[in-house]
Amino acid sequence: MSSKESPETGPRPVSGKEEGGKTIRIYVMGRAYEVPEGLTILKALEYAGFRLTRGVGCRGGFCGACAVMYRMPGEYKLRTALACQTLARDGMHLVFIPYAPMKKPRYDIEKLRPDAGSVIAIFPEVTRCLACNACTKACPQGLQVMDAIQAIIRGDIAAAANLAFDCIGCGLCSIRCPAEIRHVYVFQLVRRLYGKYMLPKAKHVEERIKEIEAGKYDEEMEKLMKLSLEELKRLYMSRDIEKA
Amino acid sequence: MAKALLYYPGCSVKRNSPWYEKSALAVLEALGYRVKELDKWYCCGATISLAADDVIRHLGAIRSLIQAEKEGEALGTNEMLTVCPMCYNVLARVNNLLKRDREKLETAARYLRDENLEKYSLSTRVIHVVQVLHREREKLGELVKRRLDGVRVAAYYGCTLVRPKDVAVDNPESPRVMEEILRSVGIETVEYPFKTLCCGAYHSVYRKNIAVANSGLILTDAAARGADIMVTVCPLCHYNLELAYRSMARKPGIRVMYLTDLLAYVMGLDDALSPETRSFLDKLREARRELVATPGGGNS
Repeated sequence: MSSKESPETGPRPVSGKEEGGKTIRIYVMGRAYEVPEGLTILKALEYAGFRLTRGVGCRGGFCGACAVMYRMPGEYKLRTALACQTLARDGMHLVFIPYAPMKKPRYDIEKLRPDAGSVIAIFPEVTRCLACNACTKACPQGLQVMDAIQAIIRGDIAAAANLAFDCIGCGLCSIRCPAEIRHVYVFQLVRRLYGKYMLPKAKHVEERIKEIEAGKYDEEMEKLMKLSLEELKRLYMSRDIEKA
Repeated sequence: MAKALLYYPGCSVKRNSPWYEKSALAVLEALGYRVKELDKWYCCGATISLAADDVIRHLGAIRSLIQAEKEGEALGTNEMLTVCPMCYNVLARVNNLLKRDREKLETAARYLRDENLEKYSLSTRVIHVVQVLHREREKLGELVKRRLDGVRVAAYYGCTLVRPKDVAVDNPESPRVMEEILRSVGIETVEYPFKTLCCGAYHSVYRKNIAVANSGLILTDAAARGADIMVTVCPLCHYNLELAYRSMARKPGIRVMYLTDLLAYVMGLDDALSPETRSFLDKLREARRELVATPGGGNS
């Protein structure tokens, strides 16, 4: 999460007691800030005056952009979280991880097969997995990250894709991994392989695509495109709605 | 209740040797074993780390030993079955290491406590399929449905099943367990000097010539001594022996297969055999039967 500091709205370091309500002290990149209790880390940062331009996204825990690492006083453990999903706590020492440095590989999915060899040829580091489970402990989604990597090593692409289905690509696992595995891209690949080669094709979708390509809906589309906004709205409101 | 075994398959077997797994499990089931694959298991590491302070590299093995301990209670067994000798070697050595070095056991336990994993109480016994077959060899003999008269087989052990000594399944210099298993089902075995020579192991990745030279020597020597078949129990040895065979200009008249393929065949467990293995053995059996039946035949 990078930020811009401006004179009016820039971060406000500790300036004594805030008015009303209980406040907590957090440390951002080594500097102390007084913020109200009960905010998420993301909101606390914004309260402190950070204008976030990187490392913030959906604010709903889905996009994986706001990865942070922190330590609590008296604890040796380095903890990981999504800033939009985690409450700021008193004494928290925070660092932003707006981007996990990972080289994105290029490949032609048409030329790959859904097996371990295809994945390992692109990501040889997968076979260096030590089974330390640091990845799983770092995952803000609570995924069994190590199990997914282990499934790849033994060639079970379907199991890996299912275990990694909810990965949001924050990259925290990769930052903690001693084998330097690029989980985000590895999981993207196994899900693609699974979707393309292993899941059964949906027949109705294939049929509909054929219909579209054959021009079945061209005329209707043409008509819609010519309608005014008002007419479109009326049409939309009076559409058939499937009963629940 | 059937005797139970906790099965640790290993990555190589799952990825590259599905027929080995199939024949091995079929033979064990025919012997009355209930073989249960562990719900969770982790790559053993393939080769053991020899660094003095390297508990982290043994975690995959330790997790699997703990898993076996946990599942074994319900199944009433502490025997964790391996079919790949690399897995056997690493798992057995890590097991021994933890028994010898309580400090390392404690270090691992402290690390795994974070995940609420129980401390390993050292009860798991790592066992290789050859050991099970050897102790059951009398019963194997009773289960023979087909005879392979006149067929001669060379057993190849490689390294990790018999070295180092503290995990060796037999005498490291002159192992005999596989020959004893083969003879118990009426198969004639061939003696040759290279049964514990390294196949070339991982040299097949970067320096193929080493693997081809070693495995080629093993094959040609056994073939020259009259072996029709070479049996192995190791996916990596199998890979290298086949690699050497394919690379040789003059092919030795010998076929590589897994020990359990051959056992499954003589026990009539045809569903556990690949179509190629089965048709090869059918033809060989037929050819040898004719030779045996013809007076004066059989001397090749």
